[in-house]
Amino acid sequence: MKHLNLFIFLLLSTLFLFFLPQVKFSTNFLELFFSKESTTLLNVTSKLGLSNNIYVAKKGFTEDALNELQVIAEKLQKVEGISNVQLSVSVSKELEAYYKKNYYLLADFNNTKLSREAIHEKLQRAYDELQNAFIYMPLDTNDPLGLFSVHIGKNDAYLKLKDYGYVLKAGVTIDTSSAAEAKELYTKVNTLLKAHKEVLVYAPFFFLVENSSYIRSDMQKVITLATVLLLLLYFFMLKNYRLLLHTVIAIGSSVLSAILASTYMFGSINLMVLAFGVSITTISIDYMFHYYFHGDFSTKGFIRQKRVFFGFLTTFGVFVIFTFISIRLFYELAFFAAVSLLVAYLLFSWAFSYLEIEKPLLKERHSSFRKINPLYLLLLSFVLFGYSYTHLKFDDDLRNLDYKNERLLALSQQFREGLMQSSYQTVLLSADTRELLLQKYEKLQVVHPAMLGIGKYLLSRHKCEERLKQLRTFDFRTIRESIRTEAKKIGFTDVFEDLYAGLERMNCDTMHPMDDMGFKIVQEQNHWYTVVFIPKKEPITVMEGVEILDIAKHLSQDMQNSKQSIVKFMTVSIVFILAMLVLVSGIHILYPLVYIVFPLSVVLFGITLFWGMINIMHMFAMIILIAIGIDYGVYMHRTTTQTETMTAIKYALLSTLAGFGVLIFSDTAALYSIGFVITTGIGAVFILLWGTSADR
Amino acid sequence: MRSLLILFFINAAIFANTYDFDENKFVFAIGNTFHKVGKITYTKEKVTITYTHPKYKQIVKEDGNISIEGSSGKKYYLKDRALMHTKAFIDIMIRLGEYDELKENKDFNVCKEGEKYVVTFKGEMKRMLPKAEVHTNGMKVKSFKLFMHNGDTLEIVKR
Repeated sequence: MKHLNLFIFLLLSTLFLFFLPQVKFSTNFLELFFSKESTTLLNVTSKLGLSNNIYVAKKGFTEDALNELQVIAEKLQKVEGISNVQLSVSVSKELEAYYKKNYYLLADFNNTKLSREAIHEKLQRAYDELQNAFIYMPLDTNDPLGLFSVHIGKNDAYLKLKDYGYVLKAGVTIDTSSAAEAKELYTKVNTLLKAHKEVLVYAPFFFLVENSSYIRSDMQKVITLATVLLLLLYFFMLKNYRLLLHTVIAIGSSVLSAILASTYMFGSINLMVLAFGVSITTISIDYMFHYYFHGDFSTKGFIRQKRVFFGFLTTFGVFVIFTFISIRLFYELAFFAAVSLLVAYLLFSWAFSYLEIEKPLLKERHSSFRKINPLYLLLLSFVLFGYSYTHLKFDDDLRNLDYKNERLLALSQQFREGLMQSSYQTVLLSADTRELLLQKYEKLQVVHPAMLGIGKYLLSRHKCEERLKQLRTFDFRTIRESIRTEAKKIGFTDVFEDLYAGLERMNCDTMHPMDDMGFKIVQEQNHWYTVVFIPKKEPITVMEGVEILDIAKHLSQDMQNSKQSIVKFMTVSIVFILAMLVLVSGIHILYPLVYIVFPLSVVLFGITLFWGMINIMHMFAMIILIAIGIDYGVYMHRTTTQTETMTAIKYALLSTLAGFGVLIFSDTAALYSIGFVITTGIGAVFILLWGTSADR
Repeated sequence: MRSLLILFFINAAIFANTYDFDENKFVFAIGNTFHKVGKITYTKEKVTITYTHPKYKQIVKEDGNISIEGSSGKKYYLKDRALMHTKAFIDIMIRLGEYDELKENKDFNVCKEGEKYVVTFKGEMKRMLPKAEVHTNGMKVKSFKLFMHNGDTLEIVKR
C-alpha cells in the first residue's frame, strides 16, 4: 500500500497510453470562446479570402518605384504559399477571355428597336468623329451602334497607397489561421524584402505571427519565474523531496483521469482547456498541505478531515455547477477541474495516508494583535462591492486582451485607409442555394448600383435565361444587314464583317466563378455566402440574408452574452456556497464567508480603481479565486489547530501565487488580468489570515 | 513676390520636356490618313498637347483628368473609355519619345533592328496595341509608329 500512489499513476498512464489513439487534442481556440454563429462567420470570412492578401507598398509614385515593385512581384511569385501577385489593377488574361465569352450576357443591353434612319445617323456620327477626332479612339467594329455597354470605373492602372506610393497585392494559399504556416511565409516574405528600402509590407495574418511569437516569449518568461518560485518553495522552505515527488505523481494521475474523462465526454480536449485545467488541478495541493501539517500521512486509511471534505465538496460543487454553462471554454474546463479535483482529493486522502510521512515540526504562534471582527470586513466588502457595482463597466472588446502590437496596428490602419477600403462597407450575403444567393445579389444591386461584387461576372440562372430570351427576340439579322448597307453608303471600308459575333451561340452554362474575379462564393454548413462592397454613404437595404460584415460586433455580443452567463452561474454558485457553509457552520457563516467575499471585493475594487473595465479573463480568474477562498474559509473556521492550518494555507497560497500569480508579470493583457486577480485575491486572503485568525 | 513668380515660371519652363511633332493617323475603317501638327510639353505633374493644324486644340492631362479645349475656349473633360485610351496614348507618346526609355521594362520588350527599335507591348498595353516601331538618330528618337489591332496606325514624327 506504500506504493499505492505510484501504482495508481502507472495504471492511469497505461490506460492513457491504451486510449491515446482516441485522445484528440484540439487547437481551435475560437470554438471555445465564441458562439456557433460567430465561429461560422469567422470560417466564412476565412473561406472568402477577405484577409488572405499580402500588400507591399513602395514609397513614391514614380516609374522607378513601379519597376522595383515589379522586381519584388517576380520574386514573390516564386515563393511557395503565394499566388496571383498583382501590380496592375487590370483583369487577368483568363478573366478577360471569360468576359469576352459571356459579354452579351454580362454587358448592359439597350434593346430599343432602331429604324434604318436611326442606324444611318449613328454610323454617320461615328464616321464624322473618326474624321475629326483629336484623340485616338478605335471604332468598335463589333457593335458600332453601342447596343451593349459596360460601365468603366475611374480606376488607376495601379493600386496606390494614399500619400505613400504604389502597392502590389499578393494572394496567399496557406492556411493563415495556422501559426506554423503563417510564420514560415512571414519569414520568407520579410527576408525577401530586406534588400528593398522604403518598402512597407502588411498582411492581416502578420498579427498572428508577431503576437503569438511575443506571447510565447512572454509565457516563457512567466513559466521560468513560476518554476524558480516553486523550486524555492519546495526545496528551500518545505525541504521534503519525497512529498514533492508524490504530489507531482498525484497531480499527474488527476490530470490523466481528467483528460480521459474529458475525451470520453466531449470527443476531444482543447489545449487551452488542458493548460488551464492543469493549473486549476494544482489548487488541490491545499488538501495535501492541510493533511501534511496535521500529520495525517501516516494514518494508513482514508483520511477523514471534515474541513477538507467540505472544502473539497464546495469547490467540486462550484465546478459541477459551471459544467452547465453554455460557454464551451468554461463548461469543458469546469468538467476537467471537477474530475481532476475529485481524483486529487481521493489520492491525497487515501493513497497518501500510506506514505508514512511524518508531521513536520512547527513553532507554536502567539499573536499579540487585536483581531478584527469578520463582520467589519464583511461590511467593508459590501462597501467595495457597491463602489465597483456603480463604477465598473464590462470590456467586451476581445482585442483588448491581446498583445498591443502598436507598429502593426498603425500599419493596418494606414493600409485600410490608404487603399480606400474605408470608403466602402463590407456586406455579407447568404442564402440556401447558390442560385438564390445570386438572385439576392441582383435584387440588392438594383438598390445599390455602385455596389461591387461577383455579380459583375456571374448571373443567376434566372437572370441569365431572361437575358437569353431578350437577345433571341431581338432582330439582330436585320440590324446586321442595315449596318452593312448604311456603312457602305457613308464610306466605311468592309470593317463590319464580324458584327455581334458569337451572339447566337451564347448560353448560361459558360458562366462559372473564377479566382481572378476578386470575389468568391463559398459554402459553409449548407449555406452559401458572398461579400459585396457598398459605398459607406449608402444605408444598407434591410433584407433577409443581408448584413454588414462586422465580426468585432458579433464577438462583442458573444462577450456580453458570456458575461451575463458567468454572472448568472456565479450567483448560483454563491447560493450553493452559502448553503454549504450553513451546513458546515450553522448560523456562524460569517467567518468562512468572509474568505470568499473579502478577496472578491478587493479584486473588483482594484480593477475598478485601476481600469474601470472588467474583462472575461478577470471573471475567469475570479471563479478560481472563489474555489480557493472556500477551502481556506472552511479550514480556518473554528480551527483548533490554528498553527497547522495557517501554515498549510500559507504554503498553499504561496504555491498558487507561484503558479498563477506570476502571470501579473506578463505583458499580455489576458494573462496579466488573471495574474492581477489571483495576486490581489491572495493578498486579501493573507490580510484575512493575519487579521481574523483569533483563538475562537 | 513678382520676382518669385517669374523664377517659378522660368524653372517650370527649364524642367519641362517638349517637342514639336507631325502626327499621321491612318484609320482603317474609313481608309484615310489624317495629318496634324502639334507640340507636346510635359513635366511629372502635367502634360499639354497643343495642335495647331488643321485647327487649334489643346489637350491637358493633369491629376488623372484629361481636358480638351478648342479655339472658342470651350473646355470639356474626357470620361470612361475615352479617358482610359487617351491616358494610355499620352503615356506612350512621352515614353517612346525618349531614347532612354527604350529598354526592357515591365510594359514592353524592345528589339533593335539597325536604327529601328521594335517595341512589343506587355500586359494591359498589349490589349490596346500589339507593337510599335521607333526610329532613332544616334541617341535621339526621330519618330515612332503605333500599330493597333484593328489595322489603324498612328505615327509621330518629331520636327
